[in-house]
Amino acid sequence: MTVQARDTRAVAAAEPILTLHQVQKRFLVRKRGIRVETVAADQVSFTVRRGEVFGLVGESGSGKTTLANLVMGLEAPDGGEISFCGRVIASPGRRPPFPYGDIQMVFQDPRSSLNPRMRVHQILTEPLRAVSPERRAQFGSEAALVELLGQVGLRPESLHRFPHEFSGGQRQRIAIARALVTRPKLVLLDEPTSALDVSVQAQVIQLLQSLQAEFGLTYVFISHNMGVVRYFCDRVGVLYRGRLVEVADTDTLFSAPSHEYTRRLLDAVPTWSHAGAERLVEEAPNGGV
Amino acid sequence: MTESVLQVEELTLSFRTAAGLIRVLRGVSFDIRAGELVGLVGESGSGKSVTAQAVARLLPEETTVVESGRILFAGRDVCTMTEAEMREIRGRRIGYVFQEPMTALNPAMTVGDQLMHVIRHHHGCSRREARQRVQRALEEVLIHQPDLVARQYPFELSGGMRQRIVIALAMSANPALLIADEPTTALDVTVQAEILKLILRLARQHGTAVLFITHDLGVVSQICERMVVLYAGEVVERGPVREILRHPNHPYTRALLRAVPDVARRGEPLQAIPGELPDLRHLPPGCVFAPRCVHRMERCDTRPPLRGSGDTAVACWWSGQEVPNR
Repeated sequence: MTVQARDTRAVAAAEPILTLHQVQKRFLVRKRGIRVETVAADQVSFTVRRGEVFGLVGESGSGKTTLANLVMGLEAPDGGEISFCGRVIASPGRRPPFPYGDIQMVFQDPRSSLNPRMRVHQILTEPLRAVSPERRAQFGSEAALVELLGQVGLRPESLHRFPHEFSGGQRQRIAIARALVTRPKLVLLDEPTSALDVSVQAQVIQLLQSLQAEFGLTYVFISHNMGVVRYFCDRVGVLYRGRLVEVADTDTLFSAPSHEYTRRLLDAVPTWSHAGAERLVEEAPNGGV
Repeated sequence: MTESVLQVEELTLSFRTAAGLIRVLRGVSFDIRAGELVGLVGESGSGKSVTAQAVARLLPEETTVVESGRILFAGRDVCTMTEAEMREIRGRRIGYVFQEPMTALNPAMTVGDQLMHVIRHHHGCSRREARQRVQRALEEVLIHQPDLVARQYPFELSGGMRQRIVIALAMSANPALLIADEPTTALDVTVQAEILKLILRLARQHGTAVLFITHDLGVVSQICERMVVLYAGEVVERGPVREILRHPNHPYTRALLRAVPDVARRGEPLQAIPGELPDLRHLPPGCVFAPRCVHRMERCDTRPPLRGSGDTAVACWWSGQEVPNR
């Protein structure tokens, strides 16, 4: 039931798997009838190393989802370049071939990310439509799917059920299995625990950790929950209004944040586990906060 | 000892559904003293929001059955009041802040008009006086350009600003009790911190008692003095926040504290709680947490009473004994 924080030294030397180079993305939005340009990704550059958990944190509107969409090939950048395993997968203008099946995503809310009218079998085999027939045959067989379900902690008979027959935590397990069915190298986790009850969150985090070792995965973990980020990530990038303001090892980021915004973000997170943790409530009687 | 503003006594409440009665609260008891901040903590299905809505009598009458117990607000039972009496209390003596500010506000009315409406209703004052009160109410929730904001519609404001407006509305009648139902869940952390400070400052300034509903232990530790931990419709533990967070007595509270990653801890192992939240239609006969509890023993097949002294109480057969530490 207990998983220790992993040794991150081996990862530090690993080769890059995903590289963003000066990635730019603008959107035109209407504000009171006037078209205004919003820069959702402003010259964003960072590298994710093979085998690590790279955290992307930031508040709403900081550009986390835009970056995820760019990496997944759902949006094309206006500038810059994204490479995966040494090959350019996104750049402005032309559309390079996308490595379908090698990059997958787990979404925030399994209630909306799973098609309610599909049985788990169909949900799991759908991503295989985008990969080669060999891969499809290898991982799409009933035996392979049952094995995968076992690896995410679900029983074989789950295969013939509908999403509504499962609890929130189990549904997220299905979503994780769907992401892994093509045996990807990189998985984007977009707030995978924030729609779950707190007593179930830890189970899902531990599952993701054990699957990472089992499948040799690299994760990009998008979150605004700093507690989970601190526990789960090796390195963290902090996004603020479309700009990456800081990238650091998790321990460095939390103990010595260098950017003003990171400090503000960390100060705002309520904590309880320190005996001397600062509490608002006791400052109050003498004159307020 | 200060007088209680709110006393919930052995409240057992059910919902009428197509599948029959579902008991969502079982023997819930706690109290809030004047000017005190109490956190009601729990996960989905724990009954925290139902409790809050029962206090303000916001639950649909046709489908809600109060089986037993009382909710005493300023000494009177909310459950037996007429709707007319309740209207005098709701909004005026009990303020309510909802989780989603966008749905709590009227989208087709400017902020100023909404406040004006409520203030005139509560104070019965002239338009001119009401306008001044609107201005003051907005300043009180730290809105820097009250004139500008008063002319805006909710959709033109950020989530944090909207929640400030909702707080201004809830506090406009100077209630004795403010119920805040997950007021910061939909907000970013930096905004959350500002809203928590604001609620705390207003409560202290006006001597308002606050019932704060949340699933976030960090938030409780920040602004509450006492906390009530709910699980599957029952109070499993209650007491001063400091004591509970330092020495949780109920296995559920302990497990929760170890299962939720906190920013201040790194390297400490995270311990998942096995199993899932129980289905309220098929609860275990004894302790509600027993199926997931690592300390389960034979006795746990009968329901443990909530026992304790003073402010502290725990519903666990282990309470008072040395729990094997694992």
